[in-house]
Parts: sequence; C-alpha cells; structure tokens
Amino acid sequence: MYMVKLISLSEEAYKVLKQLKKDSMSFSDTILKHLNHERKNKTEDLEGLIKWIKSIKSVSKKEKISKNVDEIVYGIKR
Amino acid sequence: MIADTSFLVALFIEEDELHEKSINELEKNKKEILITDRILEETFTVICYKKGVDYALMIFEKLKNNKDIIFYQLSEEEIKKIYEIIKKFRKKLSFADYTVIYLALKDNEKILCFDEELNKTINYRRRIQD
Repeated sequence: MYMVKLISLSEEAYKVLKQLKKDSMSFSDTILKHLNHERKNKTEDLEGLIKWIKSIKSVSKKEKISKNVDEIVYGIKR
Repeated sequence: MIADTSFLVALFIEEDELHEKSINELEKNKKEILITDRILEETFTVICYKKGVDYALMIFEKLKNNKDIIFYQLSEEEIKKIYEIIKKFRKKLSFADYTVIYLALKDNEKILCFDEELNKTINYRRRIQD
C-alpha cells in the first residue's frame, strides 16, 4: 500500500530536485539520498567534540565573557 | 536542542566561568544541537574577538564536520515571524536571541543557554502557551 503525501515546493527547489532525480527515484528518495550523503561527509559527533574541547584545555584564569561585541571591541567590560 | 551564543561561547572559550558547566550540559544531553545562522554569526564574532580568527575558524570547521550539529538557516517567512515576536515581546535582546525564542516556542525544544533574560522569556512564554 502506498501513502500519498502532498507537499509544496518552490519553483526553484523543484528545478534543483528534478536535476538530481533519477528515473527510478521518487522526489522523497532524492531528498533522502542527498541528505544522507551530506551527513556521511561529517565525521565527528558530540562525544568527539567533548573529547576535543577537553584536550585543548590549558591553565587559564576564569572570567565572565560578554557576548556583547561592542563591549568586547571597546573594552567596556575589561 | 537549540544552542544559544552564551552556551557556545562558554563551551569554546575555556576562560569563561561557565565553561565546565557547558561541558557538563553537553555530556548530560548528547542529542542533536541546532544552531541558527544568526547564533552562528554571533558566536563566531565573539570567539573571533576573544581568541582570534584562526581559533574561530577552527571552531566553525569543528561544528561543520559534526553530524550531531545542524546549522539552521532561517527563511524569509520565518524572519517575518521573528519580527512579529519582537514587536509582541518588546524585550531588549539581540536578534539572534529572538531566533532562539522563535524555534524554542515553535518546536518546544530544550535550549542550551546561560542567558538569564532569554531563559526567563522562553519559560514565561511556554507557561502562558500551556
């Protein structure tokens, strides 16, 4: 049994997908194939990221870091 | 999970007083992390000023190559919705913060954030939405 879902695509997205799609593939297959391909190229995960962060640690003074760029640029919070 | 600049900055700048806390948060919740384009820009800028452009680029590469990190590009339609949220909430927050508010309320996702004002706003809005 097939499930039919209606989705709406922009004309631009439709053009791109049509170029990538092979005759034997549905549009959904095309999207999944390219998403998986993109994902496979990514080699790291969160576990690896945590290990990497811990590995680059050095002994340094703790400070409150502002995310306000103006304060950083003009040194207001120094 | 949706990451805010305050969390990412604490995670990648070890001098930050919340650095250990950010690592603990990540170890507790090893789920996919969504970073909006605006948060990525803000994070890059702060890290660049605090640690230099080479370190900021290295972080960007690390995030880009991580399969558990999703960069989320906001559409024009979503930006319009965010403007509406700003007009409604009228809180003194950055546009990047509002992108986190928008996604947190839309998807009811957990947020990784150390910004009290932002946490307060999201929690308050979630309560009145229920």
